[in-house]
Amino acid sequence: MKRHGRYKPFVPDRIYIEEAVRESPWTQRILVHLPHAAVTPIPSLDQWEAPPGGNSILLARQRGPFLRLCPGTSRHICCLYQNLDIAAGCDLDCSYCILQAYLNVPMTTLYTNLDALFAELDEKLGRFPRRFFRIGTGELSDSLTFDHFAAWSGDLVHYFSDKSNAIIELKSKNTLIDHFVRLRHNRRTVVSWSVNAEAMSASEEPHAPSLQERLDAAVEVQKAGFRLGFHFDPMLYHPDWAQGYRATVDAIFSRIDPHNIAWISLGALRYPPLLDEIIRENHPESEIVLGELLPGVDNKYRYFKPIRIEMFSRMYQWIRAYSPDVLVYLCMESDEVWKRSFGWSPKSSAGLKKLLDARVRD
Amino acid sequence: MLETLFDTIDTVQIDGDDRLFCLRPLEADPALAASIAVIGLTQPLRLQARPDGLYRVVSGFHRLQAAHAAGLNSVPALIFDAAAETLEIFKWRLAEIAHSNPLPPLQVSHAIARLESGWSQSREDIIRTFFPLMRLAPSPKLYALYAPLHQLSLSLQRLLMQDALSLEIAVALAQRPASDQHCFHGVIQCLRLGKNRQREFWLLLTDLERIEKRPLTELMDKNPLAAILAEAVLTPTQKSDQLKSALMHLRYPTYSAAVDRYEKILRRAKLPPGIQLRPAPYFASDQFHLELSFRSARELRRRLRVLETMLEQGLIDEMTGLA
Repeated sequence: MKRHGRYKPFVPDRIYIEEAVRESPWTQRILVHLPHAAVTPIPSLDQWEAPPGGNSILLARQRGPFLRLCPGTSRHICCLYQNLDIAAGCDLDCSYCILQAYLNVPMTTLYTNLDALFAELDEKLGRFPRRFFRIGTGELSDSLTFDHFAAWSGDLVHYFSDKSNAIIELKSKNTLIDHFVRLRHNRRTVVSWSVNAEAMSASEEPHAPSLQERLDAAVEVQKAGFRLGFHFDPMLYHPDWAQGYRATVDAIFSRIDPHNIAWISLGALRYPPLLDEIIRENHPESEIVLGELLPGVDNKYRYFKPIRIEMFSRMYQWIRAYSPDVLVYLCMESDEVWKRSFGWSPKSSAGLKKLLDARVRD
Repeated sequence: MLETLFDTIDTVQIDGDDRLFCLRPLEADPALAASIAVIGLTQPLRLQARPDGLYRVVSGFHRLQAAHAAGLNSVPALIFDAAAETLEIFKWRLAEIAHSNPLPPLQVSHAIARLESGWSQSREDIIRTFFPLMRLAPSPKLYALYAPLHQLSLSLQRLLMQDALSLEIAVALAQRPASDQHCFHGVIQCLRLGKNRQREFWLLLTDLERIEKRPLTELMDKNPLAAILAEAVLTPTQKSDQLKSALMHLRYPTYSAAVDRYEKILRRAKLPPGIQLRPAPYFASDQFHLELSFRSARELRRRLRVLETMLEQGLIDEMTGLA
């Protein structure tokens, strides 16, 4: 079995800085934390071509809105999550990552005009005081993978700590919790980890911290009183999948109090056809493309339905054996799959949103 | 500027085995030989004089071969001097071939191999200096894509030159041992696969190689795959359909089992041609589609009775519980 090497946080050796954010305090903070990185100013990104390769990042101005509704997928129940696009790109290079096919930024980009981000949040949360927002930064990046030099987690935890109609979810495979774990959070931050069967984590996420390390971080965060989340996503069907995922469920509940868990999500591997070729090219050793993946109603490849249902239903039983109350939900699945896996369904995306909101509203 | 002199050269003075400038495999061309036998060689060869008094071919390998076959003892030629740098002549040759269109991938591959082995040119130099001469973008990706192609078997190179082999498959096969190349060439020939279907079968076979941890040749020796290819009475289309079905059963066993069970149910139901009952593609949703056609009330009643019988026999329940 392939094993995780010792996790090393990502340290860029070159930083490209768009002129528009050069003086931003969030840019300056990164420069202080990365004193050895070479810095190249970019007058304008319009004509700029990123040099190939290298261990570089781009600090840029977010031109569009930071906050946008998760696109979900057609004809499936989605959780109506709001993505906060604070960064685009990730250093972890997981074999299944959708970002390989999804991003159109020239290189890993961190948006450092966070004054605009907080102004946008103020406006949006203020304009809809009766609407509840579950917001996360883990869609186009890993929420914590740059936190050792960007330290945004602290800004976000602090900002959301006094919000009554929103929470922030920091979704990660990482263990970089130092910048927020001691802050006052008022339970308005959910810190969640993407987890997998150990064998899959080692072979498909080799550059991320191991499951053990992630759980060590989760225990620390639990001690600090934060709500936690766990995302088994993507679940990967492999010969010993049942033992592997059960062991991960056991490991979580042996160290985490179910009362501190806001939610656990399950999502089976799924991807648009384009990603199939990309995975084969970028990760030729990965065997995830060899599953019984077939086009679904949204044209994404998914495991043949009975396989998904078996995985979800057994996971549900294993989790329920530890906790009758913790909210377990499916990511991007149909009403039929919900019912056949769990015996019940939230019926609609709005129904699922209501259940999730209720876990963290108060 | 490279200069040439016109002369008529005895064919015995030309070393046809000196392939320094050859950019594709040499194959007999009886039509060209027949034409040369009748009207002679109208376009002179280009040769370079060698210090040993013989000549090497710069362009016209096929014409020389055909001239030999037509029994010509001498050929007209434009001669580069022995002192001319061979690399300069090679550059001229590349520019000449690519004067109107980019060099085809196989010739690019042979050119890369020649530049590396004959003149020790680095990958970077080839991309930067020689790709533009071949009318190619100076792209490392193109280099990686084209470089291995000259390692294809001659029969596969021939298919590629005839535009009958998918470039993607050619690149993959070029990096495989000769036995695999021979094996897949056999599949292509036997089933007469077009480029899209080559890709489809290649993906199924190479996935199965990895799933079953067996080499391609061993996989194809196994029944029912070998038996389908060897079947004498089937047409290429029938063989392709049967082979695809057999490969799908191995590649997607759970899904294929559901399809088999579904077809079994339909057979038990004895549906007439006027009733079409289909699941969602790949059973991805729980919806089934029913299409009825009829010409009279009596016929409609008969069709409905068949469906009622299916319901009574529990076949619809079986169907909806399949996947």
